[in-house]
Amino acid sequence: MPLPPLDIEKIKKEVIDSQLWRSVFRGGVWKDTPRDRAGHIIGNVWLHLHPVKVRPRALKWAYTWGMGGISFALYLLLTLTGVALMFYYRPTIGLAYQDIKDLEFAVTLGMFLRNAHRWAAQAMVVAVIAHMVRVFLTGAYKKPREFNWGIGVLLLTLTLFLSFTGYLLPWDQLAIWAVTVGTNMAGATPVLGNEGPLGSLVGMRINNDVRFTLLGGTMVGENTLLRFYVMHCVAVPLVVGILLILHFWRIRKDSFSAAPYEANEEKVDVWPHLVKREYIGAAGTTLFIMIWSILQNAPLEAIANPNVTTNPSKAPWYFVGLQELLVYFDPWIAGVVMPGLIIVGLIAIPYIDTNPKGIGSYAWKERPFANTLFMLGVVMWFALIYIGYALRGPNYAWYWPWESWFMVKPAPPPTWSVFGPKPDGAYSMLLGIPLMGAITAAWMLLPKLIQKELDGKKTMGAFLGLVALVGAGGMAMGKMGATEVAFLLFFLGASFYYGFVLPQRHIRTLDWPRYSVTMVLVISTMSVLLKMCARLTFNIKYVLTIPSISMNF
Amino acid sequence: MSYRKAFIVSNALMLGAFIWAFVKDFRAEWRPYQAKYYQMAGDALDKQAAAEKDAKKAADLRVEAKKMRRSPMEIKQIIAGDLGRFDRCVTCHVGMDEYTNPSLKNDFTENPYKSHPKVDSALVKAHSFTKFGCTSCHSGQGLATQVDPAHGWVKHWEKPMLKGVTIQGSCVKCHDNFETLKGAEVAAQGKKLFNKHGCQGCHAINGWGGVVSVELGDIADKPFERIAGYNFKKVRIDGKELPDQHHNSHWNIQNWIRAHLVNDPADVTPNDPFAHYNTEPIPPSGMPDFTKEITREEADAIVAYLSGQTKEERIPHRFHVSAPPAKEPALSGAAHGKYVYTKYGCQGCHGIDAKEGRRRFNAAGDGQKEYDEKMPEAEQLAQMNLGAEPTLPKLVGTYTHDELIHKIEAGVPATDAKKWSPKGPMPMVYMPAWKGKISKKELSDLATWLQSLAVKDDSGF
Amino acid sequence: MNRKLILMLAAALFGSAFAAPVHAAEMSEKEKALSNPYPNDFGPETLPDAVIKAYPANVQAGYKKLISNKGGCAQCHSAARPLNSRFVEPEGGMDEKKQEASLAALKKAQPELFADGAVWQIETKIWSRYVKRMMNKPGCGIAKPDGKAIYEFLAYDALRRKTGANAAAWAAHRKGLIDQLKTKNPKRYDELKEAKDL
Repeated sequence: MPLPPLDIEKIKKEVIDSQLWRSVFRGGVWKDTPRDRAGHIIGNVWLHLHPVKVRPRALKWAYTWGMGGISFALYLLLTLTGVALMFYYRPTIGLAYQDIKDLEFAVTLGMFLRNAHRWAAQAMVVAVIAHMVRVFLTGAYKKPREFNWGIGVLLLTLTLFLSFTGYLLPWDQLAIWAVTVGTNMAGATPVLGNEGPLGSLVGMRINNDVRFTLLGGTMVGENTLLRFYVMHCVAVPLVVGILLILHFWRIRKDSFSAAPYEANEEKVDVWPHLVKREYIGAAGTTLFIMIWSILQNAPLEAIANPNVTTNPSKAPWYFVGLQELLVYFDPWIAGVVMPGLIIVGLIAIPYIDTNPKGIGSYAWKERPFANTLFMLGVVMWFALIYIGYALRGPNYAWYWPWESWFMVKPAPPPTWSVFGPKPDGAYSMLLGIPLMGAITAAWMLLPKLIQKELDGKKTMGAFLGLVALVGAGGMAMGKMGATEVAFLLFFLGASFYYGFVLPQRHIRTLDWPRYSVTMVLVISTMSVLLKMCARLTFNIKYVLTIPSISMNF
Repeated sequence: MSYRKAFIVSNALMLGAFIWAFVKDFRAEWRPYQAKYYQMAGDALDKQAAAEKDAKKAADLRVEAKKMRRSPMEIKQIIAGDLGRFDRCVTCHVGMDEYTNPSLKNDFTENPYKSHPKVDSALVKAHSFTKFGCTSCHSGQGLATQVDPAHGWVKHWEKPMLKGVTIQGSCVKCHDNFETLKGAEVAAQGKKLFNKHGCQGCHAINGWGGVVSVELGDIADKPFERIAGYNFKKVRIDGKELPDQHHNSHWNIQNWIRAHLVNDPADVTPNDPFAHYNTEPIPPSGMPDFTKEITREEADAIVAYLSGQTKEERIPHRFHVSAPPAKEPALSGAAHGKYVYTKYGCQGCHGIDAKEGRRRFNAAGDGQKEYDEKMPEAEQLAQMNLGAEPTLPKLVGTYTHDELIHKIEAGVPATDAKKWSPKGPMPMVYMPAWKGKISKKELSDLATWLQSLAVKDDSGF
Repeated sequence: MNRKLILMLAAALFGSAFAAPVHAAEMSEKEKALSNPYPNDFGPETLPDAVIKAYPANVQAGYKKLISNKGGCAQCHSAARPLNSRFVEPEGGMDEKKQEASLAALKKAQPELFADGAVWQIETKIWSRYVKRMMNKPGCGIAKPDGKAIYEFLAYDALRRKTGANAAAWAAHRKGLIDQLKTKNPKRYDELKEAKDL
């Protein structure tokens, strides 16, 4: 006997109009009208942060790269996988490693879960940096969005800190020594660290300084593991959540896209146009992480052994650039001052950049100084990461990628310092301090004091010519080889161009406060290049050393 | 592609990826082994049922066979709580699981299906699986459920499964009386050889022995981080290089110890005697070449003995089997002196029966050419390798009895050595001061015995 | 003008960067011997010509061999060590009984020589033993006839220079060496004193 025909629409309507359905979903039967589309956004707590309509220019992938959304999607993925991992992981040194092994061998989908968490974490660090680069290049930090950019920088720092605290939790050799390298930098903090300049004068010891607070002890151990676990799973995610709410609120309040208004602009509905893109972005991200997690396993070395230091011991990849800086600078500079300047410098960018051009678009030609120097910083950051990660082997000696780390390398040549008290420095400290001060002051002031805009090509030509001359003289005297002259040309040329010519040409018209802040940041960046040059060319360890207060430059 | 299509495709792909992950996880390495075991065991029971005359017993057996075939697939483990072991070996080696195979015996001949050998023997009966687990004797990575990781034949697991006679090293961990223990004969032989060839003259074990070289009481725990890959690459076992890289099953501590006995240690650890890579010259390993004295089997016995020298295991006291120290033989005079010579490991540097002094790198030695700065490095190396410890029969005749005792008590510091190459490294090996370590009576008898070996003096004055 | 100033300063800085590296010094054999010295090592490495010329020919030959760097004692340690040694062998050559008789006679004639073991150690066959001991060390390579000549020198010289009329002068010299050790290397002095090897 044939069944009576089913009226799907009628059934649907009855279900949707029922009390049960209506109590949960208030919308009623969906008709694809502007009213219903708006209602979807306004009426849903998760979606109502979005506006109802948005400018189509703000939706383009080529404009936004989707990196902000992808970062957030990864954050959610990490929270989900993180909570699942918390069912299996116990943060004590007797059990942590064993629990990771259990995840790998005994828990269904345990390895997949662990991989997803680890790879999503790495991807999130890359995504937030990419997001920052995109926001910079589209000028979306300029007035009135300065504060949100600052929030973003804080979120970047917290993302790195989350990754760093999570790095310790497997409690294997990779974890304990990477965290040891990273936290030893804290001991070098000026004033607050027991090994930093002026620290001992204020009564900082190894068991009461800022590093001790971070570790909960004098070494990475039991207390550190528990502390990092709590920070990783509870404290920092809470702070990140709060800041994310603020970050999204500001984006909404600042009309969502930085592109300036055009008359007669036709906006489109957020539902579906923005929401569908967000979904695809999140789906693509999830798919990427899933496939990566199926194909590659997260590393796990031998169980952490505080008595056996791995050689080499490296910080996690996103900090290994700073570790590479340790070759050229003392820990208080490489580990505290430089990262501090980077963070403060990034936050300061919206306040020192007065160029009104290039908000909401990729304005390469209209923002030569901003784009060039920012991208220089980004390139240097990743170049240092690459060097520290791939080109440094046992004893932190230089190993080309094709060289086996089993190869024995000769000891590095002896180093010397330029200015300092005898016998540490070749020349007197009393000469060095005023000289370095004068050079820094001159460098700070000259670009602004030279009123006429320098011809970039001619100036660079003259400078490089002079360096080449000095180099040739050095080679003739047998004091330098071709490699050293090449280093000189490269590093000095770059420092002069980015540190002197570009500021002179582009920011000499800035007011003194902004100009000074910018020049401090520029000179600090160039100091990295110059110090690398000094070490590679002349084996200089410190340009100025003041051992009595542990201050070495 | 439209967004609608992308929506459907991405969702399908995510679902597909999840299924892929699940399937990959489901197809664990251990499953086919366990499944096959159940089939094999079921077949065996059916065969038994067919041969059974009694109808009721046959029916029971067939029911058992059915149950066996339908056994759940699960990760099985033995938790030896006292020893902190969670051994999942029985997930594949089901024949050794007492829940699936209560008799712990079966007729299968291959691993992983066969039951544990010799379950009726006193040795296995004394070490119940529930109390000891598997890895406390066999070593390996008990937590793992894949083949190579479980056997410890992977990078970053530094205690791989012990093969062959080396397993007797595990007896040494708990049994102080292993020298008289049935089942630990190879380890006992290893200890005898260790003493016979004078190893304890330079290497102390738990404080007993010389201090010239490393203490070996925890050698089985030596972390690989402290063994240069550069040196491991020079090891040749049975004439072959040890494969490294991803599958590190051969780069283990057993082979590292073995390398010191079947290779010339100066070849394995050549260091930097000409200061190419360091500011000062660093001599190669000071350990003499034992390859002519010790056969490959003997080397394996010593490796077995030393594999039990571990401190990492927190073995609870009740697992420990203590033994009274071996009694010294009742000897006197020169015979006692000969015993003392072996007891303290003098033959490690001065040779078995004091016949000939062993190698002492860059010290003065017989047959050396005169040092010439312009000599090529390979030749210099050969000359430095001719340096030797004194050959006692030649020397002992030139001492009075008391002078000899004094000399042994005082020792000879490393800085006293005359270097063949002044630019070369300081010889590493030296004679420790034995004052307070060898008793006066022992010293006296030792001197007596040594002087009995003195060669005839034909110098004419 | 500003540009020129900067460039001049830069050039000055570069010029100052060509500092020469410092080389480490190597220890000589004598310095190394002095790291674990005996009082003997602080004394002179040769005997005055006048003393030597007065000795018989075979004894002089033995002295020449002793101080030689090739096939002599000085190839392993400074010649000062045997020359300033406290060892004295009584007269008698190969005949032990004769040596014992000389020893007894010496005890009667100069009992003060047996009071301080750090200045005089008079035993039968002591030089014979020591020379053979040194010759049998690995890598020594002193030929047996050379060894005999060295022995004959040492036995002859020690008796002449350290006993009889020269006893007091020798005692002063030897005590001076021991004092030098005490001031320059007190740790070693204590070590040797305890081991009764001063």
